[in-house]
Amino acid sequence: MTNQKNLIDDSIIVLRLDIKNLTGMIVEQYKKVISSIKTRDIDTALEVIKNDGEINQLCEDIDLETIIVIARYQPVASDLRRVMTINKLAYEFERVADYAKNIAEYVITGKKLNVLKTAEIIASFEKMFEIIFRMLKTNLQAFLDEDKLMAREALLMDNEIDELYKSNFDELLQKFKQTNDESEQHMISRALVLNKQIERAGDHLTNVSEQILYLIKGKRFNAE
Amino acid sequence: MENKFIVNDLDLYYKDFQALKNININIETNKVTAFIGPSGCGKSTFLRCLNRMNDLIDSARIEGSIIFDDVSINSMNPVDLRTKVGMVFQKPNPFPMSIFENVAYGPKCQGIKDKKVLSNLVEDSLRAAALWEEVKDRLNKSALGLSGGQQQRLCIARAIAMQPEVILMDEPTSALDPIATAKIEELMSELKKNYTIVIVTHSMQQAARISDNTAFFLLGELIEYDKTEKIFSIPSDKRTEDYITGRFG
Ligand SMILES: Nc1ncnc2c1ncn2[C@@H]1O[C@H](COP(=O)(O)OP(=O)(O)OP(=O)(O)O)[C@@H](O)[C@H]1O
Ligand SMILES: [Mg+2]
Repeated sequence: MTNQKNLIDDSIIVLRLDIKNLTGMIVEQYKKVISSIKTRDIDTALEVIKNDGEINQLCEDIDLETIIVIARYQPVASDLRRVMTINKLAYEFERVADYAKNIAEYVITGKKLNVLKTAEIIASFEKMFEIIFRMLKTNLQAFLDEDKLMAREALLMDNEIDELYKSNFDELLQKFKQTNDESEQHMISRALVLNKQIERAGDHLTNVSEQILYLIKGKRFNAE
Repeated sequence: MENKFIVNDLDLYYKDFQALKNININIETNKVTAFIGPSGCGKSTFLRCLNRMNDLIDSARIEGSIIFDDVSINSMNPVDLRTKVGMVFQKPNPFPMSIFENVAYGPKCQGIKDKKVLSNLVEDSLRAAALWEEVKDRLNKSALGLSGGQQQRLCIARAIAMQPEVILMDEPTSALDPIATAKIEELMSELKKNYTIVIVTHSMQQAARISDNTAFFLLGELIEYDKTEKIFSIPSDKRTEDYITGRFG
């Protein structure tokens, strides 16, 4: 039996490209976010907020297109799983992008984020972002190549994020308790929120890995 | 009983040509089972095995066993078997007689003479086939004046009038428009409450819509048999996948 080409293939090729572009845009967003945290550069943060609109638009377009593909071709089996996966990925990626925007907003409203001057904390956030990048890239590759091992690899990265999240949390809480300075406490609470935002982005990227594993293996996966 | 049919190691030959190869399958009671597969893979041949219609084909030779409700169909009287296992064909084939007589014909042949009994049976069958409302005022008109979709439901009513346990349908909607098709499909989900239904279809969407279990045949072999939702979302066999996604070349 040969692998005959099918009408749905062209639509799927385009949708896969959309996912690739979407991932690229999100990587750029996070790069900008990191730089805006480090340099406390409002302009870069504003750019992130502006770009989020474009990302939302692309996600909406992908969502619509998958619905059209389903209506037109009524895909089954791996075609169906592929189209559903693209739809789900667009949703999850949109959420991941939202966190970049939220963080950018925090940078703006908390221009004097003095707590972030604490070198270790910045380093620790950077490490978390680092993993977010890796998750984005590994997930994208796993999706494009439908590579099970890569999807698993991406899935496991969330544990690293969770660990960093916990240690940041403990550290910040410790600092919070040690100070009576109200503005210092205020800043620490901001850092706590930021910490949580990155962790949530990791959760959504984990959903992405699970969805890709479903696409490949055909059954749902749990992180455990 | 959970299974209406239990088929073991069934082979069928037309002279030297083996049309069915070692088929093993259980057909569940009160479920709709769909047979899919490319033209010539043996779907109709296998369907005809279930009510011994292949007995009528001289060149056909069958090995293996088919159990119907605990009884081997070979030990049954074929006429009794065909009463219990009715059949509806691709092209509606009403007899050139009135609508009433079409439905009453089978029961009359079975010896039912009482007019009241017959007319009740005709009404019940036409109702079960979702045709009653459309024909109740013209029962004595010729069945040939009905639309294709109505004729097909009449054939279903005719099968139902024999009070079968199983209804076999070989591409029952392939000659019908989408509305008539939708009516038949709706009817099937109604009928399975009382009957076991086996349907051959070339429409993947139809199999996905109406059946509980789907069997995929290829070149006389049963390649995959599973819950319909499984077949259409996560088939296990690459050949099933290629066929249902239209990549079969
Ligand atoms: N009476 C017969 N004598 C000899 N060969 C036959 C006979 N009936 C069917 N065949 C052959 O057996 C094979 C299976 O035929 P069958 O009609 O069961 O296929 P099918 O799956 O129902 O195809 P279709 O989808 O076209 O109806 C085919 O190769 C066909 O040519
Ligand atoms: Mg046939």
